[in-house]
Amino acid sequence: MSWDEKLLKQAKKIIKLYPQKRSALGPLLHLAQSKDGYISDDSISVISELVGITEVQVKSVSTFYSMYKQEPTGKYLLSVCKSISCEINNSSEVIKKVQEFTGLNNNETDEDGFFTFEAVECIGACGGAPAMQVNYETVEGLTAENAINLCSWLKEKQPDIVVADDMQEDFGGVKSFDWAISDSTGATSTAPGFQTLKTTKVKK
Amino acid sequence: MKETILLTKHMRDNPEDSHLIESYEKNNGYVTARNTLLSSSPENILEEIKSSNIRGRGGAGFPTGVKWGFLAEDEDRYLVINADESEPGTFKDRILLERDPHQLIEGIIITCFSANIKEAFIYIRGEYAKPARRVQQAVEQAYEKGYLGKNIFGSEMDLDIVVHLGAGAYICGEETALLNSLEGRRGEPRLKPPYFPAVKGLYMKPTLVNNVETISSVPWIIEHGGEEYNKLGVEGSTGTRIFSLSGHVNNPGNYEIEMGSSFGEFVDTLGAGIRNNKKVKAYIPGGASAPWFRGDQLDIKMTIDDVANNNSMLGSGAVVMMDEDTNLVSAAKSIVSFFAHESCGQCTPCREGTTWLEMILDRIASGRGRTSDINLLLDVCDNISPGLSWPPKMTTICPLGPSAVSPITSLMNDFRDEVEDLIPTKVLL
Amino acid sequence: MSDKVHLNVNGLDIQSDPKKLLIEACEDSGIHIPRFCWHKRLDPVGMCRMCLVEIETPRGKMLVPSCTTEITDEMVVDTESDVVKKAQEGVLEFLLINHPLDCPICDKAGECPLQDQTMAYGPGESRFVEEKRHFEKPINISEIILLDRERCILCARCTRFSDEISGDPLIEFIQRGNKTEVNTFPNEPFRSYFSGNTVQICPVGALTSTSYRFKARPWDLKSTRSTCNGCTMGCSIELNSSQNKMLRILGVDNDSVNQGWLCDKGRYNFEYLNSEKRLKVPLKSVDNNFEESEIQDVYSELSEIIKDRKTKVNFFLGSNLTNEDYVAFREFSKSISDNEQSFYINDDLLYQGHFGQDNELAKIDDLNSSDAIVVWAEDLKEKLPVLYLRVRQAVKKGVKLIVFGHTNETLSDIADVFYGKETVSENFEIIKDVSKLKEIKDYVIDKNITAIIGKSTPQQSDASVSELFEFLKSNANTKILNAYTKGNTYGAFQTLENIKGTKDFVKDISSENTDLLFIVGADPVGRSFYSNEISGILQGLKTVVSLDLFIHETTELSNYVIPISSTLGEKDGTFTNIEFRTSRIDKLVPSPGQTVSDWEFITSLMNFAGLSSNLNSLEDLNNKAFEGIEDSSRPVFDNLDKPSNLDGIINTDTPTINTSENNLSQSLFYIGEKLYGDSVTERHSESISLLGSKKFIEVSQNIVDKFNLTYEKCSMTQDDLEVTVSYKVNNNLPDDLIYIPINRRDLNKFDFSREITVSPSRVKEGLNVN
Repeated sequence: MSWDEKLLKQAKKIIKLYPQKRSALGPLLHLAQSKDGYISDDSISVISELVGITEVQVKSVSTFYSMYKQEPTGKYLLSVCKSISCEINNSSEVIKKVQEFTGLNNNETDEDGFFTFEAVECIGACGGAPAMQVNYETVEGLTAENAINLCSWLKEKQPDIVVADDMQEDFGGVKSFDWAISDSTGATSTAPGFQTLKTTKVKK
Repeated sequence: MKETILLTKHMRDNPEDSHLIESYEKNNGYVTARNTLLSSSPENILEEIKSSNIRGRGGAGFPTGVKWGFLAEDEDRYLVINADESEPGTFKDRILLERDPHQLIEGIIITCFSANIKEAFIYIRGEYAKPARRVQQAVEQAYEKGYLGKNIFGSEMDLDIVVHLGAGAYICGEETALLNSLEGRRGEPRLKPPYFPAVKGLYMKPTLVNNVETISSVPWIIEHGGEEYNKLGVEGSTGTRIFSLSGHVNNPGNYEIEMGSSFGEFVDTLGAGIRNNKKVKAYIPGGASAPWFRGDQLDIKMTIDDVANNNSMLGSGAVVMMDEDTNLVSAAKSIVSFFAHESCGQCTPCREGTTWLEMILDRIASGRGRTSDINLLLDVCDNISPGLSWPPKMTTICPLGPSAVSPITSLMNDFRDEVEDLIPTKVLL
Repeated sequence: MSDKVHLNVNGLDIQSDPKKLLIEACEDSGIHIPRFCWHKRLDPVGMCRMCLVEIETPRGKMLVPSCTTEITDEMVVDTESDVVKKAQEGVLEFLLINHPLDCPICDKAGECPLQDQTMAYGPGESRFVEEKRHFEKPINISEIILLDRERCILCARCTRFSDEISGDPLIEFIQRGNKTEVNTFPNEPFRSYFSGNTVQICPVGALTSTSYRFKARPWDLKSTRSTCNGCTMGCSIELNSSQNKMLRILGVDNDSVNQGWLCDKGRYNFEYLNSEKRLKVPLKSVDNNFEESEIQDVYSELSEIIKDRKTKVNFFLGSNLTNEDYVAFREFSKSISDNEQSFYINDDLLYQGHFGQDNELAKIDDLNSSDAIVVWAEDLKEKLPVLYLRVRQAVKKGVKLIVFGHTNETLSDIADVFYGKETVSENFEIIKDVSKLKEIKDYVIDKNITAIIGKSTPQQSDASVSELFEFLKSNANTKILNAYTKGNTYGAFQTLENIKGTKDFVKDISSENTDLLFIVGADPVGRSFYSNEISGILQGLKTVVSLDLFIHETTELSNYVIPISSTLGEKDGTFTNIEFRTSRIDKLVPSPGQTVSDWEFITSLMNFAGLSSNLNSLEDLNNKAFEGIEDSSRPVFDNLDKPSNLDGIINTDTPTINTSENNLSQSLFYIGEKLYGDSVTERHSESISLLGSKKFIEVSQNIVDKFNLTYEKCSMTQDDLEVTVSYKVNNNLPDDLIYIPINRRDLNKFDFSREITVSPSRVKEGLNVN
């Protein structure tokens, strides 16, 4: 098994949370995503053993959901919203400019393994349209120009954790609602930053 | 008009730390839950909820008290909080999860007490990473204080909450698809009958599936009484609701109001009107699934029944304003494309039909439409939602298919000329 | 006063049983509702939406899928309204927009539900001008099954079959929405023993088999119904041929036996019929070489041997024979000697069994109506695959399942309790006190039980099998399915007396008591546990006559080899299954060259030798076989051909099995057989030969470590015999027990009473061809 002791231990803890093992499939796939940046065949084998279903059954679930990536992703996943509220607020311009800057089409990763770009469906930031996410940390009220500035900053600073509040402050605009306080938590991989998965860190 | 602040009170009063338990408790938090567990009865709670006449805040608007009453008897029952907010235009659950998670937890405790449930799940969409963190933190804080786990508040009641992340599928907002997803399967809706969640839900056990906002309203209802809640709003749409306003308005955002005012009043006062003084061409009253209203229909009241009588739905309470310069064909295409992408693929009409609709609209939008396309669009829509009536009939398993039809019928009914303008009448050689 | 439910469908009043699905109730009354995803034997899912009909509700007419709607009393249904017709046309249009125009090259054309329903209910033209969805076509999802994803209409019949019925979900939907496809996991092909069923139930040409691909059009085919004789289940089959060549076997829905399903061996192991290597001419051994001979000469020479009626004759009979074949040999033996004859049948595991007045024999349907099923027998999935499916079905319906077995995992996924190596010893004895086992107390005592009881391995003692059964008999209301697995064994039970197996053959037979031995349709040297002993015996006998389809290791040691026609497809007759249910075997294709049926050969020999016989035809033999049975349930041809008897007629019997008792023996190895091997017919069947020829053993990790095995292969050595095999790790095996499947030549040549040395292979693993 290519999952190390620590990861397996974490996986088993997650499985214990649910009345039936199979329910842990979702979080375990997020864990696999955080480990490799995508759901590798090897992770599928490990998970199928842990949960007690066949590998194709694991694959059937992992390919159903958009957040489980089937091919390797870069360090930063740029998800720009294209749904109705963002669309009528010029998100297509943001998408175009970000694609130009990164040189990527939809669902592509650059050769350095730095950025992956995707145009996604509604991320619940409609009041701050157009909006995007970096590793599922939301930045609202972007102009096309600021979106590119954000990408440049990522390329330059290469932060280990992406904190939404920081990015919002420097590059964001109108917010959907008052975010109030920041607790300086953020994501450490292209799996959502969530405590139980240990994919969250607090910025010191 | 003004906002009526119930759900969003704590977060407005204590922006610094509204999501932390110390702050919540300083402001009377968990007192209602404690009183309920120590001195009330499950029947009492159910009565209060019934007398409040609160209707589900997720989109279907089903009376919550009635839903709780349907829950079948069993040793194992579950509560699942539907926090898979993915309807385009909606972001009201996000603020509740991010800024006041303890209110939700208190609501869960009271609900589980009333329904004799020992295990609850909060299913949060995967893209809501920050709200999920806040909720997880709140759950851990509640455990520490003994408000979750064994013998809550020293009573006989046990309750466990598991925070479960989704992974990017709008269809998991449909309650039976959510249960499938929570069981570790593909998020495909189940057939109803026989798989009504109240009877055969999670792991085939009786399950309550409720929206975040609905359960977050429970502490106030129990504290002040169902009667008091019933006095707010209007008959058929009691209490307060958080509406998410977006689009071409000056002040987009979440607004908590009693239902009963008109959309026009709402947008003009709280939304501060349309940007650059533009006129409204069309607006969506209840999220991307809802048929559109025209700019001259702003007097329709923001109630479940009034919107329904005008052949649309209040749905998730997401209001999207589109001004006079909006390219409505692109807007419609964006919405149809959303549903095509989110279709689970189980049933033929939705799986094949929504993508076909997207392809046709795409051709029209890019100038390659044909004159036969308009009737073709409508006929394809008719094969997904026979009769193109409201409420929609469906040839599909769940309402996602008919939702894709809404923008097209809206476009064709009221803005047909915009479509026709894009279709070349001469053959270009 | 019946509790039938009344419905009004299209103005007609129809009745049906309560709780039936609307689509089924209409079907039973002759009203056809089109459908794709619904199948009688699978749970309904309502996915294709083709079966939508309108029903009256308090809120007006509603479109509902009839496959998921249960009928209610006084329901008013319209299956022909304009709304319904539009919905049907709409669904078909949706299905066709991405469906490729493959009809001219697609196997399914002519028997295709999509074609038929489009003609009957669909639009005449396509309005789809966009680009259709494309996939690489086709892809191999196993050695014998191909998948064309462009043709797939995503009805989920194949995935549901694999999940619900056969319990090996190796194919599933992947991706979502319009991009959904059926597929397997890379490097985990669709190697299910039941994969062929998905080809049969696929409503389009998405799933096809290499066996039948491009071979014929359905309107070219000649068909007949018959019975499979691969194991004792006797599944109902339909044979298809074209231009006198057998091309395909389909499963027939026999409600009491196989319910439409077949195992892949029964479905595809007919290709040997068309093999070039079929024996077509009689052979005679002259100076250690085989020469072609005339059948008349053979009769003549054999007649010389037997006509004085003093020759000591014995019979070693295979299990592929019909009842009429067995009767022919019985009559032959009676005509040449007045002494009582023992008949040896080709079964290493034959033992007394449990029959007679004291033991109530079960029917397969009893599995569904029991409180619990107890299994203590050979691996059901390998030896009685369709019975394995029936057990799974019963468990799905709520019947409890208790399995005693330490080495295989078969049924452990659904068993309520699986007693493994703590309860079952290496010598296949139950080492715990059964009456103290908790699940036995909860599920078995005083309940209605169906017990599937049989030996698991040749060395097992008879007592260890019977002990459990005796306990079940005394403590519960128990019916038994004696799990003999080979072909028409029960037919032999019904028609022959004094039956013994290979073990007794080895004990009894020598040149002192046998001058002439007939080996009929059997290859014990190539296949039996007692191969070496049998080989020695054959070499010492004066005259050995083999009747078979091909030459093999046993025919090599015979004096005469007679080419015979195959019971499957080339012969008429009857077959008796594990329930003592007798059903028809039908001929469809002519047999090649100078082949004769076994019964033809022996009756001709009797005639030639002037021995008395009033058996001149197959009908005579058929009548003789069932002499004692009263008319209405006599499984004679006329009776079996009646429509009400097509599923077979049951006549329980008490066989006279006179095996000697097998006592406890220390087994160093666990000898078994897998479903696929390299038996005579299998190695001449193209499809099956791809699946079962590999030589392998199963060992625990302990053995791998002990002998330092590497590279997935190892060597097994004993004296001069060395065989290289692959090994698989099976940690359900006790530490030092090696599982050896002996239905592979060479593997059965070891002396299993002595040690075999296992060592790392000196040959590195070759390139993976698959």
